[in-house]
Amino acid sequence: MAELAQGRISNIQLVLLLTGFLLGTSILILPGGDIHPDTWLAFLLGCGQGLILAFIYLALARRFPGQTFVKIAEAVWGRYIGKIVSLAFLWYVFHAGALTTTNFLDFIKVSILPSTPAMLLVLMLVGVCAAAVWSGLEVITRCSEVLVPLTILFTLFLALMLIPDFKAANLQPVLQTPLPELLKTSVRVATFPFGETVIFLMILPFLNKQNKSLSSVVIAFALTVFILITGMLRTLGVLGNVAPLYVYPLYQATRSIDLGHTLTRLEILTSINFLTMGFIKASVQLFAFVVGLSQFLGLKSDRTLVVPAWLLMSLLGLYNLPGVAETIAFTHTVYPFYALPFEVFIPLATLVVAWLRKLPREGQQP
Amino acid sequence: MLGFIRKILRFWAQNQDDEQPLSTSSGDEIRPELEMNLAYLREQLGRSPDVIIRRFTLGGPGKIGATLVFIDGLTDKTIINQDILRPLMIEKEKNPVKSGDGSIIEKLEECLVTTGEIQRTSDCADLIGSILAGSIALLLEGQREALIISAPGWETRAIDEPDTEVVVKGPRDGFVETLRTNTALLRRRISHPGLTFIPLQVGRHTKTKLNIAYIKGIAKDELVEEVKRRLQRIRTDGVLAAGMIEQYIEDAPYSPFPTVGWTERPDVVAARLLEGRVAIFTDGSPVVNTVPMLFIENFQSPDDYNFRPYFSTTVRWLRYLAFTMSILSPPLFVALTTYHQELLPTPLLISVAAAVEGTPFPTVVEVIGMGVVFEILREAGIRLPRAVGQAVSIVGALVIGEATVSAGLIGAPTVIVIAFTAIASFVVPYQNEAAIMLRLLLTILSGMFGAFGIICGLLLVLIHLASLRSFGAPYLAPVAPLFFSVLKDVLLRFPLWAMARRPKAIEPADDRRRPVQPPEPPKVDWKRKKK
Amino acid sequence: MRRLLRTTLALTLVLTVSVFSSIGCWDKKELDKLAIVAGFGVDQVQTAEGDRLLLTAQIIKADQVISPEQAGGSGKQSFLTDQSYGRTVFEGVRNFTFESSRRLFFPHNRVLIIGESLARSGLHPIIDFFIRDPEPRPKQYVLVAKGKAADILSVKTGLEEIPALAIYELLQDYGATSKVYPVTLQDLTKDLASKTKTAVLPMIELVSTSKKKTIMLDGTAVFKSDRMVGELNINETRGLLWVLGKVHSGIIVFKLPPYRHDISMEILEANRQIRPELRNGKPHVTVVIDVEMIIGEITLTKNLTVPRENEKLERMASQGIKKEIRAALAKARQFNTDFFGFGEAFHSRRPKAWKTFGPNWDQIFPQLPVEIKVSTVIRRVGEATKFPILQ
Repeated sequence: MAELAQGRISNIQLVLLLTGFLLGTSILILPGGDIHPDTWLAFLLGCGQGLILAFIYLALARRFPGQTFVKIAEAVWGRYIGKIVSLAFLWYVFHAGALTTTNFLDFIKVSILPSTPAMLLVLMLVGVCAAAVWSGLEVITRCSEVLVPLTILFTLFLALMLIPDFKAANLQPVLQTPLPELLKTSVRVATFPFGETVIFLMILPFLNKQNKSLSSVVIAFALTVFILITGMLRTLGVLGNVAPLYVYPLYQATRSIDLGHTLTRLEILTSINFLTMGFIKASVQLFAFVVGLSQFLGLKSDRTLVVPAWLLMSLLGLYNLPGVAETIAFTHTVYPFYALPFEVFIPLATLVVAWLRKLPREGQQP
Repeated sequence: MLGFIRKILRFWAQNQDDEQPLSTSSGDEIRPELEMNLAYLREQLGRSPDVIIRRFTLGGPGKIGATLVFIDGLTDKTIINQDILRPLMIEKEKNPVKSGDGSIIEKLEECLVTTGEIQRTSDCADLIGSILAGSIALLLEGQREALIISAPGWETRAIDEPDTEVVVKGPRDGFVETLRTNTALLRRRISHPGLTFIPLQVGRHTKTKLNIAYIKGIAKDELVEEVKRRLQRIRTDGVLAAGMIEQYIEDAPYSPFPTVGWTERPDVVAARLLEGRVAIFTDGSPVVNTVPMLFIENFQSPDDYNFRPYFSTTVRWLRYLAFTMSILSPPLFVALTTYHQELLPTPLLISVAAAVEGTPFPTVVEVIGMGVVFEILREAGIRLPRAVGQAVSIVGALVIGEATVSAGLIGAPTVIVIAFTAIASFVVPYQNEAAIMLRLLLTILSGMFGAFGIICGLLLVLIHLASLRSFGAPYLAPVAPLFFSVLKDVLLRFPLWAMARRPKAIEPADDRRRPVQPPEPPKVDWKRKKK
Repeated sequence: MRRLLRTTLALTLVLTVSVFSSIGCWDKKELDKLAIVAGFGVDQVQTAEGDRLLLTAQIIKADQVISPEQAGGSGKQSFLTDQSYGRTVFEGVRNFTFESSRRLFFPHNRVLIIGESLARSGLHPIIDFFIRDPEPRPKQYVLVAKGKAADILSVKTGLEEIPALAIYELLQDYGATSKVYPVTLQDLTKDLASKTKTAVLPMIELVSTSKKKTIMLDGTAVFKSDRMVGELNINETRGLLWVLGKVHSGIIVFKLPPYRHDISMEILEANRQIRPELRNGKPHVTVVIDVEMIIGEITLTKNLTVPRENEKLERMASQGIKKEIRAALAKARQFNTDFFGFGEAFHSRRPKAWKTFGPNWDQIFPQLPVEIKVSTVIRRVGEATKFPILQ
C-alpha cells in the first residue's frame, strides 16, 4: 500500500523517534508557558496526564493492529462519519506540522537570519523534511537514531557548562504555587508536547512488535520529561527571575556560558538541538499527513503527495500566524483548547464506540 | 531526489545500440584434418605476430603431424620446450603410440605431457578462448579433440606493499594483477574448507575472469546468490579493473557515496570474509571488492586491530574528527567569518579580521577558489611524473600559499583552513570520494545561509546516508539502525575477545564468533613456581 | 537527445549563476565591513533639539592591533572612538551609519559604560536595547562613569591595546582586592527585574595628572529602582562583597593594639551564609562569615606567631571585616536600598512569612536587625615566623 512506510520500526527506534518528536519544539519553547521554581512538578504532572492519553492511543492501535487512524475511523464510524473524523484528524496533523514550521521559522528569523526571505527559509526547512518523508519512514527513524542521542549529549553538556552560573537560590521557594495554577500549567504540558503523541496513531501500525509499544512510549516520555526538566532547571538556576522575560529562555541561558574565555558562545548547540529535533517532529507530521491523506483519498502511490504537501505546509507555516508574539500566545493559551478534541475526544470516542460495537469483528481483520 | 538525473541517464542508455553479434561463432567442432583446423584458427585469430603456430611431427613410428598454437608472451617457454616438445618429439619413441589409435590423445595426456593442468576439448570456440587466455593448444592430425595445456608465463609484478593502504604493524603483502596469485594470497590466510571461490566471466571482449569468494557457514547464501546475480547481469564490452565492476553492481549508482568496498590487502579481505561479507576478485586488478559495505568501513584500518584497544580507539576517534573537519572546516569558516562572528572568541576575531582586511573577494569565493586550487594541485601531484610532482608541490606551496597572501589577494586564514582541510582529508584510510562534493555543497550553503545552511545540508546528507543500502545492509548500521552489540567496534574499539558478535547489519549466517575468551594469565608467577 | 542535454546544461548554468549571485545577499556580513565594538558608552546631553543620548563606541582597528608597524607608524591608535546622537539607543546606533562606513557589531562588546547623569535619571529607557537585541552578550560588564562615559572611552591606557578590554580585565581581576563589584548585564537585568533587591554598578573615573590621563575603578553606584541614588566607597564595596559572598582574596590592614604598626593579612578563602529568620514574628537576618587568612606582612618586631597573639590577630581581623560590612549596611539603610538581597533570601527560604510582610519590605528594610558573625582562622604565617631583620 504505502511505499513510504516500507520497512518496520523496532521498539528502540520507536523510543528515539517519539523522543525526538516530543522534544521537537519543546526543547526551545518551554511548554506550559511558565517558568518558576515549581514548573518541574507541572512537567511531571503533564507527563502523567500525557501517559493516560497515550494509553488510549495504544489501546486503539492494538485493537486494530496494522491500521492507521484513517482506516480505524472508517471501520468504527462508518463510511461517511468516518471520512469526516479522519478529515478533521488530518487537518490537525497538517496544522500541527505548520505550527512546528512556524516555530522553526520564528526562531531563525529572530536569532539567526533576520533578513533572509522567510519564504526561502520555510521552503528549505520543510524541504529537508519532505526529503526525509520521500525516503520513507525508515529513514526518518534512522535519522532520529543519530540525532536524538546527539541532542541528549548536547543538553547534558550545556547543563554541565552552566554549573558555574547556576544559583540554587533561584530554584526556591519550592511548592509555593497554588495547586489550580499548577494544574493549569500541567494541562498545557499534557497537550503540548505529550498529547501530540496522537499523531503516532499513523505510525504505530508500522511497528514490528506491537505488544511492546507501551514500554517504548513510557521510556520515551520519561526521557523527554528528563530533558525538559534538566533544561528548565538550568535555565531558571541561571536566569532566575528574568527567565520569563525572554522569548526563548532556554536559548538565552546558554548565552551566558563563559568558562575561562574559551568555552563560551555555545548557544549554537541549542540552535542545533532545536533544528534537528524540529526536523524530526516536522518530518513525522508531514509523513503522517501524507500517508493519511493518501489513504483517505485511496491513492495507490503516496509518494506523489509529498511535493504538494511540502508546498502546502510551507505556505501555512508561513502565513498561519502573524508574528512571534501571536505564536507564543497561541501555543500557551489557545492550543490547549484547540488540541483537546483531537488529542482527547476523537481518540477516546473512537475507542469507546469500537468497544461498544465490539469492533473489529472476527474475520473482519484485513 | 535524483529522479531527474536518473531519467536523463536512462534516456541516454536507451539510445545506445543493443547487442552486437559476436564475432567468434561458437559451436564449430574440431575436424580431423589438421590443416583445416589451422586455417580456421588463422582466420579467427588473424595474422598477429604474437600468435605462434608451431608444426612438428610426433616422434616414433607413424609420423603423425602435430601443431602447437599459443600466444607469445603469455606462455612459459621453458614448459613448452621441456614438458611438451621434448617428450612429444624425442621421448615418444620410448613409448610408441600407433597412428589411427583412437586414444592417442588420451595417451599423450596420460603419459607424455608433463605439466600440471591439462584438459581436452572438441569445441573450437573453447579452444580459441583458451589460447587467448594464455593456454597452449595441441592439435593432432586425425583427431577430433585437442589438448589444452595450461602453462601461464606472463610477466607479473612482485607482491608488494600497497601504496594506498600502508600499515605500521600489519602484514606487508598486497594483491597483484593476477587472479590466481590473489586467491592464493587469500587461501594462505584462511585454510578453512569453507572458503569457496565461484568463477565467473564478464565482458564480451575482455572475458575478464572474476572469482566470488566467501566462507561457507559464515556468509549468508542469499547474499552470495545476490552477488552472483548482479555480476551475471553485467553486459558490457570490457571490464578492465575492479573499479568498473563496482559501478555495475552498486545499489545506489547516483549516490556520491560508495556502496561497494575495496581493498588491496589480503588481510583486510580475510577479515571481511570472516565477518560474513563476500569478496569479488577481478583478474587484472590488484583491487578486490567486498560487499556489503557499511559507512563505518571508511574509518577502519587493519592497524586498529593490530594495536591494543586504547590506542586504536583514540586513533579511530581522531579519524572521525579528521573526517568531520575535512568536510566541515571550510563551510564553518565561511559561516563563522561572514555570518556568526559573535561565535568567535574576541582575540581570534581580531586576528582574522586583521588578516582579511583589504582582501578583494568575499570569503565564500576565497574558500571555494582555494579549494579548487588545492584539488588541482592534488590531482597534479598524482598524475605528474614523480620528479616533476615535487616541483609542482613546491610551486603550489610557495606561490599559492605565500605569494597570494602577501599580495593581499587571499586572507591567510583561508589558506590555513584549506591546508588543514587537505591534511585532514588524508587521515581517513579509504579516502572518501564523496568528501569533495560534500565540502563544496556545504560551503555554498553556508555562504548563503550560514550555520543554518550547514545544518540543512548535513540533514540532507544524513537523510541520504540513512536511505542507502548496500546489498541489503543499511549503510549507517550499526548506528542507525542501532545494533548495540556491534557498537563495540564503532564508538570504542573493544578488545578483540570482547567482540563476540559479527556485524549484525550484514546478517551473517552465523553471527557468533567463537570461541571468544579473554587472556588468562596464571595468578601466580609461573617462573617462580618452578623453583 | 541533444535537446535534453542542452536543457540540462542550461538548467545547471542557471542554477549555478543564481546560487553564486545570491551569495552576498541577505544576512551576510563580511568581516571587513564590520566595526567591532569593544566598549560602548551612553550619556545624556543637551543639544539644540533637546535632550539627546550621546552614544560612544570604541571600535577595534584589527589590523593595527595585529601589526601596528606595518600599517603606518607606531603612533597610531589601535582603536577608534566614534560618536552619534539619538533619542533612543536604537536610533542612535543606526545614526552611526551617517558617518561610519561600517556597521556597528555588538557581540564582542565587553563593557557598557553609562554616564553618571544618565544613571541618576534612570536606566530603564536605555537598558532594553541591550537585552532585546540579539547582538549584545549578557556577560558584558556594565559600569557607571563618574562624569561622562564618552571621556572614559576615548583615553588610551597602559599595556592593553584596547582600553575597553583593559577595563574588562580590571573587572575580571577584581578578586585581588575584592574592593570592586563587577556586574554583568545579566546581573543588572536580574536586579532591575527583582522586586526587592536593588542594583549596584561599579564606578569608573578618569584621573588626569599633568603628564597623562588614566582610568581607574572607584567605588560602587547604588540604585533605587533604576535611578542612581548614591555611592559606596571601596571599603564599603568590600562590605557588600562580604555579604554577597563574592570575596575571593584581598588584603586587610589593621593595627594590633597596643602596637602602632600595621599588619596586613591576606584573605585565602571566605564563606558566607545569610540566615533569614523570624524572631517574635519579626524578620531578622544573621550573616555568618568564615574567613581563612594568612599573615602577609608584619611591621613590628614582636613574635606574633604564638597561639595567644594569633587569637588576638584573628579577633582584630574579624573586627575589621565587621566594620566594612557595617559601613555598607549603614549606606543601605541610608538609601533604603536592599542591595544585599535580604528580601530575596526571605522570599526563597521563608516564603510563607514573606507573603505577609513582603509587600511592605520598603518600610521594613531600614529597621531590619542584622547580626554579623565573623570568625577568622589564620592558617599559615608565610615563610617567616618572626620579623626577620632584628634577630
